[in-house]
Amino acid sequence: MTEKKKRFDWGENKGGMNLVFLGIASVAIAIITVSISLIVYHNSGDIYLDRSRPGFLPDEEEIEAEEVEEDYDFGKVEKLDAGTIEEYLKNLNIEVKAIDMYEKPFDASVLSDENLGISE
Amino acid sequence: MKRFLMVMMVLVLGFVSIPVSAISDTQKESIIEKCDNIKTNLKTVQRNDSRARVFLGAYYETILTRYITPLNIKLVEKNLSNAGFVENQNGFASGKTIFANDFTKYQQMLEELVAVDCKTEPEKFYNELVDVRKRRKIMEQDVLKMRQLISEQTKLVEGLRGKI
Repeated sequence: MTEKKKRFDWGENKGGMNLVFLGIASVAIAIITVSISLIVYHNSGDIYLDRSRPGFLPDEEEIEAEEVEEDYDFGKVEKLDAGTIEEYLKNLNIEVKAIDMYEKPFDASVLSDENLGISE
Repeated sequence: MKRFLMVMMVLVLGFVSIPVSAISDTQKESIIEKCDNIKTNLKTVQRNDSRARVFLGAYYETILTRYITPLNIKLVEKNLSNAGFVENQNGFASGKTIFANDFTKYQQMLEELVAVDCKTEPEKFYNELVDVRKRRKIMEQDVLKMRQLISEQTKLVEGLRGKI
């Protein structure tokens, strides 16, 4: 009975305790390194690059303007008459305005020597 | 004659093999001196462009799937469709794919540009910057093309007034 008890005595069984510490330390190191890499990934802007690829969706705050008319879908409209056509044009116009509000996307001047700080 | 041909060959090969550098000494010095700032600016451009891609891509998807395609289906059902609607839908769908593919190419080039050490290779950096500018111009044209297609869709739908 005493011998059996000894087998589970952590104070005596240093090998077992070290193994537990090793396990805890490994998990802690993994959590810390993964967290650091995720922070670097986010802050470096690479996350935007990856999310910009086909199949990925924007953040909620990036589609605020779209949410206004998110429910409108002409596929759900049953009739095709003058009224539904006017509704279609009204909603399409809202989407167009939102697109136009995005000022000069991919404007060439952004990469000019002057904007990048290169003296000519 | 042989000597003349050899001289011509050397000249032609010389023109082909030696890259023409468009960079001035002032630009070279400026790139070396402000390398870190330039890279920071490029990374900001990269982030803003990615946001623009996500933003516009989402709107293009919405317009195609919630407006253009369902309207065309209904117009076909009612025998009201015409070549203009079909052409516009096809153009918009392919334009959306082209926009996405062009952006991927553009971002890859921008990524490679940021990776170039502008302190030690200012000429290479500037030459790659010139190429990225050309790619960016393509992106600008893609966006204008998509906007034009949306305007055409609006005009086509406005043309339905009085017919339905």
